[in-house]
Amino acid sequence: MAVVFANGKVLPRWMMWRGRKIELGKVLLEYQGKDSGVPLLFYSVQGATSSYGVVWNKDTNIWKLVEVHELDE
Amino acid sequence: MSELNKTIIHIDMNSYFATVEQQADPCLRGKPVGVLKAQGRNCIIAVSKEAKLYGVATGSNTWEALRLCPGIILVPSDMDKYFAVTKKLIEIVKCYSPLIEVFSIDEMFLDVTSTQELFEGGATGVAVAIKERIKDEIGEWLTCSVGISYNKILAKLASEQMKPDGLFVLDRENLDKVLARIKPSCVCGIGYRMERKLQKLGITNLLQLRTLPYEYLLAQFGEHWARFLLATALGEGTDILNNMENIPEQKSVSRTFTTFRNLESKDQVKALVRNLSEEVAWKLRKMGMTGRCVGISVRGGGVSVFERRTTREEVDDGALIFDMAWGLFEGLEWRSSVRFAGVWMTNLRSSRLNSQSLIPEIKKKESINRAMDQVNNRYGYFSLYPGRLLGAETARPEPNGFLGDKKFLFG
Repeated sequence: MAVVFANGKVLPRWMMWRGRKIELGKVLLEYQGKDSGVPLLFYSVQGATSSYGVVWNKDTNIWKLVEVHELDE
Repeated sequence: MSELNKTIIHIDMNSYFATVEQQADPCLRGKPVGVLKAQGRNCIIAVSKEAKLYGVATGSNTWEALRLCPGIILVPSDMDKYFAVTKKLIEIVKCYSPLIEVFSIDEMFLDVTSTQELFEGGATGVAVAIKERIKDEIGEWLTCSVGISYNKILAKLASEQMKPDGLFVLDRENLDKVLARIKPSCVCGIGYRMERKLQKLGITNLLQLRTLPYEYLLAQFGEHWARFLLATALGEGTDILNNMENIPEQKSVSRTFTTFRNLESKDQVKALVRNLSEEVAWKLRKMGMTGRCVGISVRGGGVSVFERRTTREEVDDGALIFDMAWGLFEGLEWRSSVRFAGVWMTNLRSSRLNSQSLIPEIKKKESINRAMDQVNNRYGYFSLYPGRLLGAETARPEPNGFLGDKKFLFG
């Protein structure tokens, strides 16, 4: 996952998934949550053909892809 | 009601849960969406504005919704997500006044009487700015209806006037005109039964209520409702907010749960009651409180009952709460299956007021609870739980739409 740090925010820009580079565009929704006491940042991000749900674990700095929604034509 | 002429803004998020889902997933936008309490449940707890056009309403069953709108997309709710978005809303609203009341997960009041002059356009300017910031900072699909008036009840009625994405000012000049088009049941607190009774008296809108003398209303509805109805008809009501910074002490702590299917065996019901008791105890300890009155409510087979018991001891231990709750359940001699159960504690007070026990068993229990809480606070609730719940389906804590436990969530 490649991100930019801007205006006090962490914005996902592109990610590698299944050997492909996926450009990420607009952040559709961003919110903070917790899983088992660990602070997490949830992002819903728009790509070219799909939207993605990605989660950033602030403790481990690991990103996880949790949702993929194919966009309508 | 204060003597000052206050300016209260009411913000009501439109089709909140459904629009948050549409914001997160663009495939859902512009389509009829119903939000289910959980996957596999039948009750729709929120519908998108597109689904509303088909007549699907909040509270509909899935079969009802699919009959009215065969193309409806049903998604499970994610209360943690909605509550996280609500916290972002609060952060925006806080910029315009320190006096905020979070009324529910999708509604809040703010008192801008003394801050409106700081912003261009006064109260209306604040409302427009909040609407824009919600779109810019949270998501463009999220809309809200805003009502501005001089007390809370009128501000809430004002926000109902233009939906979705509206802004309405209800002042003394347009009060009569607006009240003449509002049905009594639009007022928070007036239910179906009272509206039916009012209809029989020829009252179909709030303005008409003024024609009924107080004594007549008193005879019909009792003192509380007579006063409330007349005050509402005259545009009177409280303008004092239950401020975020000053949330009153919690009077009770509860956890209710509607099961996915009927619980037929006593062991299943026992596990559920233990689960709910543990959550109530955990909430009490987290708030530093203990309680003396335990209650249980059970529904199933068309029967709904509740029972409570008060003890002399101050309690914040899940096993003790369970023992009392289960004793109450046994006393009910329940014969049918169970579809809903709730456990609650009242008569609460700060645990700091309790004297420390010298009895070794109690001290041991307290230290076990402390250790369990530390693990669960670090690794998540139910990381450690009583052996009796091993293998049982567990109901994990989540905020509810009414935010009934504000002290626990924000305190």
